[in-house]
This record gives sequence, structure tokens and C-alpha cells, in this order.
Amino acid sequence: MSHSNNQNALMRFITAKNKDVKHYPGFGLISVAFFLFLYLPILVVITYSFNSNKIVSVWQGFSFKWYLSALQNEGLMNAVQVSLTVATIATIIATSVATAAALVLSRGKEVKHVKLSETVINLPLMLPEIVFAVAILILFSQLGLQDGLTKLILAHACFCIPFAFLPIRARLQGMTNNLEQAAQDLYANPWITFKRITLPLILPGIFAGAMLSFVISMDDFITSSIVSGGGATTLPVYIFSLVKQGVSPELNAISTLIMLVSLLLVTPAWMISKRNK
Amino acid sequence: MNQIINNAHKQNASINKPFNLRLSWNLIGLMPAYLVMFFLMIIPLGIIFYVSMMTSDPYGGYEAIFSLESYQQILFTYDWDDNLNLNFQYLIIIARTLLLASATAIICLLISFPVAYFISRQSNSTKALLLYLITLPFWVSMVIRVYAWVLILSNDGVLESSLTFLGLTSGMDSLLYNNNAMLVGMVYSYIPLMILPIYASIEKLDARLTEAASDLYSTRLSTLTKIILPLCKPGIVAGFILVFVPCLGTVLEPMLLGGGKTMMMGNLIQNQFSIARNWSFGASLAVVLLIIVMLFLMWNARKSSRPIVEGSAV
Amino acid sequence: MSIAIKINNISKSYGSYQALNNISLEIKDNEFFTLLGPSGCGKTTLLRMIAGFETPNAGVIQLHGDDIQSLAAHKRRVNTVFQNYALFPHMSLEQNIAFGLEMIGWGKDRIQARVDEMLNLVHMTQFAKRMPSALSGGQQQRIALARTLAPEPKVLLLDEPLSALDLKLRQAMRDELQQLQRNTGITFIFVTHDQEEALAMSDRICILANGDIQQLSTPAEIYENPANKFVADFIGETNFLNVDVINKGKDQPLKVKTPLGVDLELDPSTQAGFNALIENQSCHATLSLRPEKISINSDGLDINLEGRITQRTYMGGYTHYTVHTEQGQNLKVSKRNHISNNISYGINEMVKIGFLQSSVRVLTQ
Repeated sequence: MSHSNNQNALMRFITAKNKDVKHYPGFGLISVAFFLFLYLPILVVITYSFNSNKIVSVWQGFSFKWYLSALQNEGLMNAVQVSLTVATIATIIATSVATAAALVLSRGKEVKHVKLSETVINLPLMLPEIVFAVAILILFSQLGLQDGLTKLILAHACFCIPFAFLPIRARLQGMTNNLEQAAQDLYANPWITFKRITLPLILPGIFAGAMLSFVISMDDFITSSIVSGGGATTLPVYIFSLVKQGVSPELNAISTLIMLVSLLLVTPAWMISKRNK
Repeated sequence: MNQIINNAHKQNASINKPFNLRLSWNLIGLMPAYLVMFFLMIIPLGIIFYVSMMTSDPYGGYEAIFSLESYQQILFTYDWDDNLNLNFQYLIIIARTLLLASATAIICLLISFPVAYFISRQSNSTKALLLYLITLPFWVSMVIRVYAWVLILSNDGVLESSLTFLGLTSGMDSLLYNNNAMLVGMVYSYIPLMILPIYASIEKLDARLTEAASDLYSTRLSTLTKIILPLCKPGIVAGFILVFVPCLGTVLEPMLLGGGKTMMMGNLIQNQFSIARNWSFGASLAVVLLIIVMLFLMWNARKSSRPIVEGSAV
Repeated sequence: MSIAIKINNISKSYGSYQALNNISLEIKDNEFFTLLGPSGCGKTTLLRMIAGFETPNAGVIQLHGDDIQSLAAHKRRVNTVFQNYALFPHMSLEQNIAFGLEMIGWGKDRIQARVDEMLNLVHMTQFAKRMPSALSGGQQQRIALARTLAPEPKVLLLDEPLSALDLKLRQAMRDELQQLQRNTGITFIFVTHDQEEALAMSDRICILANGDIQQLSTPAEIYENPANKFVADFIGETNFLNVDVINKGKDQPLKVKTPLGVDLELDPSTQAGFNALIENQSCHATLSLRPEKISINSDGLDINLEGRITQRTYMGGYTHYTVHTEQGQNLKVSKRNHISNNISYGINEMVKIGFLQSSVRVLTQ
């Protein structure tokens, strides 16, 4: 349905001599070109992942064999495991810390320096990641911290906090505190008010925040590549090392698999957050 | 206003029993965030400043001897006679970084405005779909997205073999490892960050304003330049920052698409910690990058603290 | 009749802004009491203090003789209908109404019975399982009322509950609210900025402005006999004329010289603003005369003047005229359009106008 609407609109934009004052000729064409630009590279990767030829750019025939070899790739599986561990733990830490902070900043009584606290929490968004990465690398080496997994978790938890914080804070701000006052007015004590009113209502925000930090952590390259070592290689860092070795059909298959997984993860989350709006 | 309420409550602390309890809850709630940020952001930044002013240790790490040599190294080299000579090697990298980041932001803006406007004119369900399509690649691993361009642009890559196959060209120069390749990769990586805020500001625009403008004999072009663009300025500024700042520190595009020779600050810094193992120099470069970003943000904050449109200061 | 709420010397300031200035008042049991005033007058602040969401800087609030200052909001037996209803969006209507009852520890069966009773009271029985977002504004309003009435509060606080409704619904809900108050016998404290709403529903009205009580009285008394210029202006329409006080003093008739060419002698007992007038040093005062107290071309009135009609506005049930008197004053005159007396006057027509001295109120400037 929406697709055909879309096409109609496109046709209107491209062809018709539109008298509508809000219509700008050419914008439709730019948009079509833009979406092609956005998706063609991805489609290229997916297409060539099915190429049976070892030389990537020369099409030989359709094959699943690179997927089989990708799934048997031990280095890849290790990297997936590291990434999942780091992302899960970092997300739990970041979401808890961010929820507590957002609750205090939106609902606490007599909170001082709200702006300052927000700035501090959003610090990781304000400076280039490479600066954060080398800074934390020096810190860890000064502390003599060796364990790669611990280093990754600490660094990821830190830069995930603002990503978890923003949706939760937005949710709390969008919700008038009338509701909590109404609960207290109806004899609910502060704890019950939190449990039965505040928490259920900000749950979509917490979910969105957790989702966002998980994806950000899974996707992180700069910090992970600088901090890792000590036997912990995350998925993006592993893929990067493969890319460095050169284009390969197996790499295409791995990329396609990862895109498929993110699509499967993101789409339901997107639908849930849309329904809860 | 908050301050005022706080004061009013303070006078009242004696009769308001839960006061102390509440205060400690506030502390408990905010403490973890402050602890994390203090130990993992603020202290490391302090260390970076510290290390940038120390002497580098040729075996990695640094020696705790005060020296501004690493800052000097950005501008000068010693020649055989130990004379300082101006060296443009790193200045070129800094200039390239600024240039590419600005070019990326401007190209993103030129594409994003028409696209965002186009989306805002669609039906609600189409809008949702198109926005989803814009954010979707963002969830796909950054490394893979940049890799896709390696696949397309490399020697014997998809683009070249397709063109050769069609007989359009043969044996052209490599499309990879130059400024243009990096530019394409950066635009591709960061453009969603430009579209979304611009789209939000267009959505907020009152549709009657464009009608009012054309009612007052404004052409579409003058409506665009005199009504729509000025009112979308907050979104455009936000998008510009969101693209420009990460571009300054970007690492993947210069490493994969720029190759080893055409560097940007991001991978130059990274090299000091991975290959060159010159921590002090790396730290001083990081400080320079940080200062560039801060100057840009401060300049922008000062500019936008003046209301752009009455009543709609950013 | 006993006192439900007693407010004693309550003050509240936000920094240099004085929201409430040493307010004292008493609200009786079973009363429909209205706090009326322009926005920013402190009426909502006062209501929220009674509910327990704000703390006064000074003063005492008593509920049936008990000081409730130290009680947290959830321990006060008063309930609030919020301006935008504040229905819990994740609970069905039933669950919304049951919420307060669960909190005060009622048993399951008793809660169910009470919920059914309340749904019935507000005519919403068939919607019990719906979610609040599926309701219209008026229906949400009813559920908000049912939810707050269910725990049998001693006092019900209503914070501009009708302001979000459209005009027709607002008028219907007015009657419903009044009916509900009579049936339940609960004290209602109603906050509004709409004078019509206040006049229509209240037993007594307290007019607040700039953190002070301007007048506290019955609706009729407030309209007919305003205590000061602010009240006369805020409630209904009126003509203001600058007058000079010739004679004032305790137990003496009040004499004023008007710009209409006549001097008036008024009975101080009919003047709510008389005490203020005596305290005031100035001999300048303001005369207030309601437009409907002036009649056109009628006999048997104390004061008679002549003038020319300069403006005429037809309003359906009545017609507004502006009359320019011989003395150069403009007076607004309102005339009902009776079926038996549908004479209307044209622009520039010369007319006789008249009023009774007893309709005149003299107020400090």
C-alpha cells in the first residue's frame, strides 16, 4: 500500500507539472537518487556474496559456499562471542546508570545543577571518539589493566550511557508528572507510585535506550580497535582486519549475515517503539 | 526558576520532613553516572593533556619529563644540523581533515534538504517507511558500510569491472585511496545524521506559512529562501554539527578508502598509538583535535545564542 | 455547619514573586466553593497546597480541625481532579477507578462493588474495560471524577476540570458536577478562571488576584455588590465613571459628585466597598454601574438623563447600546429583547436613559 503511494508520489514529483506551491521540482528526483545511493552499496555486497568465483568482481555462478565457510570461521565466531558479551554487559550497566540519572533529573525534588549533570552525562557525545579512545587507552595502561574484555566493557559502558540516557529522559519529559501526582493523590506512596505508574510508563524509553546502546556497542570500531588486545577482538575489529587483507567473497557473506541479523533485531524494536509512541 | 523553587524549599526545610531522605536519593541516583564519567572521561582527558606535555619514549609509552616537543613536532622537524624547519606534513593532514569534514557536511546538506522536504510531503505511512529506510543502514555495521565502497571502488572492483564489461573504459586509475573516495565514504556514513534533524525542523514548520507566502505573491524560490530555509535553520545547524564533528575524528574512511598515504587526523592519531608508538605526539594531536572541535562548538553556540528568528532561538 | 478546610495566614513566594500573600479563609462542609481569578493569581497554588503538592512558606492548613501540613500528599484524605485528568494511560477505566481503593487497602469484592457503583454514577458502565485513550474528553472527565470520588474523600479538589472541553460539553458538565456535588455531599473546591462557570455552580466564590483575596461571597453578592474595582471589572461588564466623594464617614450617607451632572446620595449599607472608601485618603473614587441597570425611555427612575446612541450591537437575546450623554460621557446600556417590547433604537437617535441610585456602587480607584 504505502509502497504504491510512494510510487505515485514519485511519479507526481518526477513527471507532472505541479501547480502546488509546496512542490519543488527536482526534489523527488534527488530523493530517488539518494535512496539508490543509500542502498546500492549494500545490495552490491549482498549480491556478490552469492558469487561462486573466488575473484569477487567477476561473476561466475550462484553459490552458498561462502556462507558455509563463514559459519565455520572460528575467528569470526570468537569475535561474535566477544562482541555479544561486551554489548550485553555494557548495555546493562549503561541502561541502569542512565535510568537512575534520568529519574533523578526529571523527577527528583530539589535537584541542583540539572544542566551541568546533563552535560556531564552527554560528554561522550561531545568529543570525537578517537580522542576518547586514546585517552582511555592511556588510562588503562597506567592502571596496568590487562584483561581485554574488562577494558572493552568499561569503555563501551561509558560511551553508551548518553545513548541510553536520551530516550529515557525524553520519555520522562514527555510524561507530565501529573500522573505521578494523581497516584499520590489516590494514596499511593512514592515506591508504589514508581512501581505502578512511572516504571510501566517509561519502559518503552528504557527499552529504546537499551536497544540503542546495544547497537552502538556492537557497531563500535574506533574505541574497540584501540583498546582491544589482551585476547579480545570485537566483530567490527575482526571484520576490519579481514577488509585489510583484501576483498574476499567470504567477507561478503559475513557482511550479509551481519546485516541480516541487525535487520531482524532492529525491525521488531522499531515496530515496538512506534506502537508505543 | 528552578533556583527560585529550591530557595523556597530551603527556607522550608525544617517542616518538610522527607527533605534529607530525598536529597540522598538524588545523590544515589546521580552518583553512578558521575563516577563513570569522572573516572572514564574526565580523568582520561586530563591524562591526555598531561601526556601531550611529556617526552615520548622511543620504546612506547612516555617519559615523565616536561616538554612541548610533541606540539613542536606538529609544525617543525629537525634537519641534519639540528635546525628547526617548518614542516607541512602534519599541517596538510590537519587542513585535509578540516576540508574533507566541511565538504562532507556541505554535500550532506545539499542532498539532505531536498530529501527531507520530499519525505515531509508524503503520507504518514510513507513517511514512516522512508524514515525507517534512512535509519536502517545506520544500524548496519559501520565497517561493513565502508567496506561496501572498497568493494565498489577498488582496482578490479565492481564499478571498474562493470564499466569495462560495458566497454566504457579500460584500465582506468584506481578509484580508491584518494580524497574523493574518502569523501564519498564519509557522506555515505554520516548523511542520516543530517537528514533526521532537518526533517524534524521541516515537520515542525507550519504549512500555512508557505501558503501565506504564496498568497502574498512570493514565488516558490523566494518562499524557499525567505521562509522555509530560515525557519529550518535550527535543524540545519544541528545536522551540520552532527556530521562535521564526527567527521573530524573519523578513522575508518581514511584507513580503508584513503589508504596509508592520504591520512586524516583520526588515523594519524591512531597510528601514534598502534604503529609509531609515539604517545606524546598522539596525545598532542588529540588535544589539537579536541581544541578544534571545542572552538567550532563554542563559535556555533555563540552564533546561535543570538535568536535566529524571533522566539525560536536554538 | 462545620468547617471542612481552614486556611490560616498562608503565604507562598517563589523568589521575589509573591504567589500567595497571607491568605486566610474557611471552607464549609458540603459546600461548592470556587477559587476564581485570572491566571497567575495563586488559585492553583492554593489548591495544590491543600492536596499536598506544594508547601507554604508560612501558615496552617487544617482538614476538619486537624493540621495536615506534615502529611504527605498520599496520606491526605483529599482527592484532586487534574486539569488534563491525568488518567493512567496504561490502565483500563476500571483499573483507574480501583487504584485509589487498592491503595487504601480495600478488599477485592468491595473494590469491584464500588467501581461498578462509580461507573454507574457517571454513566460509563459499558466502557469499564476500555483504555483512557479510547475516550472523548467528556468521558475522560467523568472517569477522572469517578476515580477521585471512589475513595470517599472528605474534600474534592477540582483544578480547572472543564477548561479542556468544548463549549457545549462544558455547559452540560457544569450541571452534572453540581448534581454530583449535591448527591454525594462532598465538599468541592473548584478552581477556575471562567467567571461564568464560577457564578453558575458555586455556593460561595473567593476571588483571588495578585496573591490576595479580593472578595469572598456568594455569586449574587459578588456580581451585585463588588468589593472593589478589580472585582467589578473581572465579573461581568460595567460602566466605570470617575467621581468625587463629597461626604463620607461612619453612619453618614455617602455623597458623590458624578460627571453626569448629578450628585448621588447612597446608603452605605448597600456598598461592599464602603470600608475601603473610608480608609482611603483620596476624595477621588470610581462609580460602577452595570449596563443592564440602565434603561432606555422608561419612567419611574431616580436619575434621568438624555443622550444620543452612538453604537448598537445586536446579540440575539439582548442588544448592547453605547449612549453618549449630554454631559459627554459614554455609557454602555444593555437591553433584553423581549417578545412584547421589541423596540430597537437606531444610531444617532436621541433617547432618555435612567437608573436607580440603589444600582450604583462606589469603589476606591
